Amino acid sequence: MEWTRRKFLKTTAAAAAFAAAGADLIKGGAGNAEAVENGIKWGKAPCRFCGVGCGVLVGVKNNRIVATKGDPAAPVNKGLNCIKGYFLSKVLYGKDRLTKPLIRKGDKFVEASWDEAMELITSKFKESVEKHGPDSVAIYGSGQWTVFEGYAASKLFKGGIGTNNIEPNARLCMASAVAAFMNTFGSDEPMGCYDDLDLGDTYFLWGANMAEAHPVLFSRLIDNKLKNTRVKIIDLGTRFTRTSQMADMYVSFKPQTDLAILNGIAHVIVKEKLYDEDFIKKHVVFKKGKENIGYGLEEKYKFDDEPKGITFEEYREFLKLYTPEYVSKLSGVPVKTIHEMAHLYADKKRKVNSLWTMGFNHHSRGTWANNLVYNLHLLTGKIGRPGENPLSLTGQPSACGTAREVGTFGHRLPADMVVMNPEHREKTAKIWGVPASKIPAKPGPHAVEMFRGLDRGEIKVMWIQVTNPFVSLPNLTRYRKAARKEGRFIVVSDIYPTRSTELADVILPSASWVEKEGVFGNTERRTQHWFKLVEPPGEARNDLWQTMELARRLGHGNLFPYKSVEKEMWEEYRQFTIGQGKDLAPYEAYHKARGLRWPVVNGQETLWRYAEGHDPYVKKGEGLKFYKNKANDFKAVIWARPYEPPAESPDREYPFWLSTGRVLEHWHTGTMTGRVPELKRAYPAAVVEMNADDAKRLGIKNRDKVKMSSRRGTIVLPAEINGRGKPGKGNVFVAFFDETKLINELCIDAYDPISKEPEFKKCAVKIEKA
Amino acid sequence: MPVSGVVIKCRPEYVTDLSETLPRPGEVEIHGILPDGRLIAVIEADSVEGEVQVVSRLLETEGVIDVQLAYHNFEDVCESADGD
Amino acid sequence: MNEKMGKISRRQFLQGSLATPLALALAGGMVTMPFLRRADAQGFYLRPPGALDEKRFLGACVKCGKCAQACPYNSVRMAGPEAGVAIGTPHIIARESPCYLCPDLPCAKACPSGALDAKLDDVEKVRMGTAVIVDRENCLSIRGLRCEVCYRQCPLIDKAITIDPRHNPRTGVHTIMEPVVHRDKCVGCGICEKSCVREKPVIVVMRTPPKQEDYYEF
Repeated sequence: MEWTRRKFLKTTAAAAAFAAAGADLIKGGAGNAEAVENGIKWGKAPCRFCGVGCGVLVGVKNNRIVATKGDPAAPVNKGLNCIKGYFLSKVLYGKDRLTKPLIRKGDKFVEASWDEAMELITSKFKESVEKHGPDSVAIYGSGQWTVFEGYAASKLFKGGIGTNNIEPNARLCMASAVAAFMNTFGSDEPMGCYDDLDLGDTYFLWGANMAEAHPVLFSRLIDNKLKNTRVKIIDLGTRFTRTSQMADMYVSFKPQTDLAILNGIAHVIVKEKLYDEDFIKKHVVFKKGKENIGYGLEEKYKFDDEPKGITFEEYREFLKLYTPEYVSKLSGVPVKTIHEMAHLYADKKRKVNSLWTMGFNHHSRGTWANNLVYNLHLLTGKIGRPGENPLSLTGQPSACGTAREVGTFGHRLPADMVVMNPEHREKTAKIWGVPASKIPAKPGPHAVEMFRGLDRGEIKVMWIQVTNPFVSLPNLTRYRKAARKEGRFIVVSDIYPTRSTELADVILPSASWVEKEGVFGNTERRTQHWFKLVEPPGEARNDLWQTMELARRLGHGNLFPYKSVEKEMWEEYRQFTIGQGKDLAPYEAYHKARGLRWPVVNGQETLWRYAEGHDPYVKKGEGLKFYKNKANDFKAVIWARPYEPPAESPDREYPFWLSTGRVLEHWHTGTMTGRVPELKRAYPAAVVEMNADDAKRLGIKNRDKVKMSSRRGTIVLPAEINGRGKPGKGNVFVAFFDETKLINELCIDAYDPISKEPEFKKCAVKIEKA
Repeated sequence: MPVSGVVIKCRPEYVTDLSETLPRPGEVEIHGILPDGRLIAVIEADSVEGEVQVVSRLLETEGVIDVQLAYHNFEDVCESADGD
Repeated sequence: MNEKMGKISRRQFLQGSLATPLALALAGGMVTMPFLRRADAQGFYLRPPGALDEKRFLGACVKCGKCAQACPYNSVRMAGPEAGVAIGTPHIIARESPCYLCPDLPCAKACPSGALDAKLDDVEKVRMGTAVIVDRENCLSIRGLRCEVCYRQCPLIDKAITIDPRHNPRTGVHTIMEPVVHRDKCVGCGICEKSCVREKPVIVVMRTPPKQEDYYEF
């Protein structure tokens, strides 16, 4: 008896250990791309949509995705999804899927063979480079590029054609976060991870509507609050959202004054000596940069910051202006609230996190806003520890993995390197097997400047992949017109006809998501891999193949000598990351794992960067070390950044602030979610959210059509009053997913001179009853 | 006698060696090796303290990164305590 | 009657006469597709805003169609022969086109007979029915997914539908955000029914159950 009982117990123990390791799933098939059940073959992939990076299982039968479900083994979402993720299986099967290359003939597009289309594209690239030099051609890509697609584009343009004219749409999305990571910590991407959402007790949300833009993460944050009555969520914004509704405290402020509020909180922390003196001595230096830095509205606007070291005393002096009274007057936030927030940030018993997204980044002082929130964590020492971190949330599935880590920007190279640095160019050229002289030292134009260059005529040939710029750029009318100007040649690769393909000279049908093999990297440094699970429809082909095919035809085929393309390209790319604190694992390590957070050293992922016991780069006894910030003696930087007004503020003629953004049901420009009938039904068309008092004053009732104009454009939309979003008085909000309502025609193309990220959240409009 | 199921995380290059060197009769049994370099093991000892010692030994072994407890049964420990 | 309405009535007529035995339709307001309900199993028709209670409404309505003509969304339609004695009366099929609660209530104002209350001036006082989650197990929000489309589309968000968050024991770290309808506030417009992403809506408008009084104040 005893023996049998023990044997039973041991079997149970082993089974429990297998289960805890997720091993039954791995063996049982969820993790295995070959698992078959009811004739459905299941494979894993990260969700195609936002930067959260939920894991999904994709069910395939007869070369078609017949089902998807949240992956129970994925640590990010544990089987859950948002409503977009729920309908992933329908995203690729819209009726108007592009299946053949199309070439413009006058006002029409005619079907062509791949050979014809690629030959035409190649001849245009060749001609332009020969006549006008390599800087007359450009590629505009995406934070939805797989790592391979981004890597190949960067290698071809920077290392083959010899131009830095490569930009991702991530410039419109994450550039300010990047600039601040670099000038504060010397390395891009967050120190913390999603575990901080479970472990902290105080969360400041700055301009982040997590409830709609990061749905599954928000559900995780709220669960922490449900479990722990101590948890406090403070939502700061200019529009009362579903996030505000579930927060403990909503702090409404006037647009742009977040800069002042952040300094006001720092003012109280410094004045009342609530800071962590020991931490500051060990880990912080102080700096200031240029002020009155402009808005980039001028053509070819040039700006370089001039950082100067300052002392803590000088920083204290700088903060003197930002008394709670002064800040309150500017922002509309009560003096008491500013004190309260400062004490929450500084409370030694509280684990404080700051989370932010586009409220900070779509900001003509976006880098400053990012800097100022880091200041609060660096003053109080609440950084680099489990449960207390600043976390910049991302919006695209691989804004981090591709755009930022591969470095598909005009100035960047992989793993935090830049083209301006000769050693970086040398290292890159060596790995790429090209002469170092091939990579130009001059950075390519940033996104807005690239499209201005297209308008002015410096850029003649542009290839657009995996993005929809002629909906998503600000001051859209100018750039839409530019695309059709004489002498320009535009190639657009996409899976559906869009408002960008309609302006193209050649449209290439692409493979999407699990129609190809890929890797994405999410907000928390998690690198996730998937295998190709179905064939793309018709003649559609992978963007990676498209780029390599152009390379071959241009005579740069030697850049891509791989037999097993993805694996060999990965191992080549991986060399950039090893030893840099950004280490990626061997390719196979990602095949079954539900993603690994870099740096991955000896097969171990890293949850908290810079922290002893978590980050293998930090030695025993060092505690915390910003080891990537060599230029600043391995310390992080507190920046003295002032409040400055935005490029355009409301006035008598245009009395309202316009902000743009997203809703839960749709993603970005809606080219995918718009093809899902259920999501269309759930949220059919754009509306303008208005404040109830403003609407009453103008005699506008719910669903009345209103005409809204800025200095750049006019749009007619139904008004929504007291709906899901309630803008503060004097503010209106429009989501940008509706391709029939190009709200970005109204947006100003001012940008942050440091990060070059445009201001989508603020411009002045007037409203009339239509 | 308490029985526990544990997941032993190892450095990949040590996995094969460890799966051979870690087992000891009446103390550690290896029940499986996962493709990502983790070992599934059952440990037993005379007392909970004894188990703790076994886990400590495992943790000190070169190549072992972490030992995670997944299942712990000490029903007979309680029984004997009650009986006394 | 305008041309469009004429067409709809004709289609409904054909569907009604071919697909449903009239006897059944009389007995229970039989419908052709279960999720495009004209009437539910209890014979409940979603009437335009301001309608009298059903019995008095049927007596008062002169079947003139003016309310349908006044509706800017073509949501108000005239019932076909499948409606039996209610033939020719106005109703709303929420799943196809719900009541969008025009602030000036043009349909009620157009009613010449008093079947719809022309004096109604506040959409929040409209009582057409009450939304009910009829299929909890198919509700994605209740299963822990981040859907809550009905809640966010509700014109009386945070009043008629609120979110009741609770811990998701299955994942251990997420929240189940359950939409909860409050019948004191729900006007029965059917926008939730229209917007539900499931093939068969799991939230539908039904006859408001009578309030059963007691002395508890919560």
